Amino acid sequence: MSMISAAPQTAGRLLGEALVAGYREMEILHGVSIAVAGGEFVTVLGPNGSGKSTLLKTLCGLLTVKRGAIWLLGNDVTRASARDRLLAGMCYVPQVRGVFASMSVMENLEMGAFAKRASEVSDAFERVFTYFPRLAERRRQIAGSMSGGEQQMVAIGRALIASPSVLLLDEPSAGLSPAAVDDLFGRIRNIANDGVSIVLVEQNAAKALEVSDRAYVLADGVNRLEGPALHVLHDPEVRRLYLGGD
Amino acid sequence: MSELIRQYLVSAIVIASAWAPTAAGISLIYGVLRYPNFALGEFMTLGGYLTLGLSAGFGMPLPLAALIAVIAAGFVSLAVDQTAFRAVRRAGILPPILLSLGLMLILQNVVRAFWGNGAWQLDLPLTRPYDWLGFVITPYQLMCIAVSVLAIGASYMVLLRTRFGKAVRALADNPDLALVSGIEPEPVYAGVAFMAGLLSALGGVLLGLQSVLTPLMGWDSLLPAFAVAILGGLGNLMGAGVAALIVALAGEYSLLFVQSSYKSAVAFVVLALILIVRPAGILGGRS
Repeated sequence: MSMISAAPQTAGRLLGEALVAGYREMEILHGVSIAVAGGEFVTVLGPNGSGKSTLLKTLCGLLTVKRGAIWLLGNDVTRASARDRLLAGMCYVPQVRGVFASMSVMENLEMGAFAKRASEVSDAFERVFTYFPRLAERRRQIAGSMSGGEQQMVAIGRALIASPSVLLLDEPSAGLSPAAVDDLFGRIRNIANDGVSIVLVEQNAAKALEVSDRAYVLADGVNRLEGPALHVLHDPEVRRLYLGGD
Repeated sequence: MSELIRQYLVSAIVIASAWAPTAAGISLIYGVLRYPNFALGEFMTLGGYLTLGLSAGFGMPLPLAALIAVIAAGFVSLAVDQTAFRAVRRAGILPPILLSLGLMLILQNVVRAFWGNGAWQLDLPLTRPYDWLGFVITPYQLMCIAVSVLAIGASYMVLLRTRFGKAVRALADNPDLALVSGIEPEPVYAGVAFMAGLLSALGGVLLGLQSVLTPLMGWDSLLPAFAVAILGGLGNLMGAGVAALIVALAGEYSLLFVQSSYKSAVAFVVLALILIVRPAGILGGRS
């Protein structure tokens, strides 16, 4: 099934090799592989329950790997804690509850840098504010009182503060208006253009593919398809299954 | 009658000063670790009796004895958290509740084993009460109120401003996100357990300054302290302070209408009434 069974370990910024993982009683990933190059924008598609979110949780360290391996910048992080993966350069934005709702925007960003020394992240705040100028205006607002789109900016900003080389995003478009989704995807594209590798899990397939470099399609916890985003966008099977048309 | 009304107000504020720190401890543990810790009442007893032991037994001045006692109680709480409670961290809500009930019985009986079942009094020099416009209050009662306000205020500032406090709030708000933000939870849990043990023990010292020490003093305060913690909004320290005052006022002023044996029941009627209107407590939960 897997189309990248023999990816070399040194190429690529992030490599997940034949990952088997899931929850205590239920295995969800049955051997998923993914490879992401530096500054590459990769979208992961698939129907509900195909293992997209589980893949991100496994990559970031919230779920343990049962079999397989994860390589980040040439280091084996398969058994590393979430904190160590963050320090190694991989940050994760969860699908729901991506902000500390009771804390201010500034505090949310500070929490993203919790594991790092203040001197290491002094520039990072300015960088986040250039991607999301709105956050600079709203520093003191409590995150839980913001709109869905603004909260998503806080969520991504929190992850960017640690200056990751790989950013894992789980359905940031959920609950946003079409205009807000276009705006957000444009900003994520900018982040990738600045050299941060993006792994985006999305239901909003067509829009995500338009801004991505490459895409993976998962089904039932295994790789189904992989290729340049535009090829995947025009793949008849993908169109039939996920894009609701032909 | 008006004299009674004045005096009930003083009594209410004074008893609230002992309940508030304990309720803050309960609130803190629930807010971060998500279980009601029924042993915290016994940390009151422990705080009171350790102060007694250090001052009467070792001849320490009372403030020093109280300081060492509450810090020691904090470390007892930390030690239990990092051993027994840590072992059941991922096992759901029931195991820590049962553990806290077991710890409650152990602490209560350790105190009995050392000091017996009788009542003890902290050795306080006699003082003359102040009388302001008919409000009669002793210097010790004033001190209790001041210490309680300071303790709640300081705890609040720790949570608001310090690195540790921000980690506490992040873990209470969103544990998974705290984890992927690189916060190591165990040192934070240990700190929370220390704070909760210390605050509860402080409540016990303040209660001891107001009346006498008995092995059941913590048990007797447990239900009001829980009522206060729930009313204040679990996880909300300032709420605990305000709620302590409300529950205490309701209890004291009920004496105008019902016998004193109904006093503690009144606290729960108030709790029920307020929660019907504001289910998350008066100031809302978790802040």
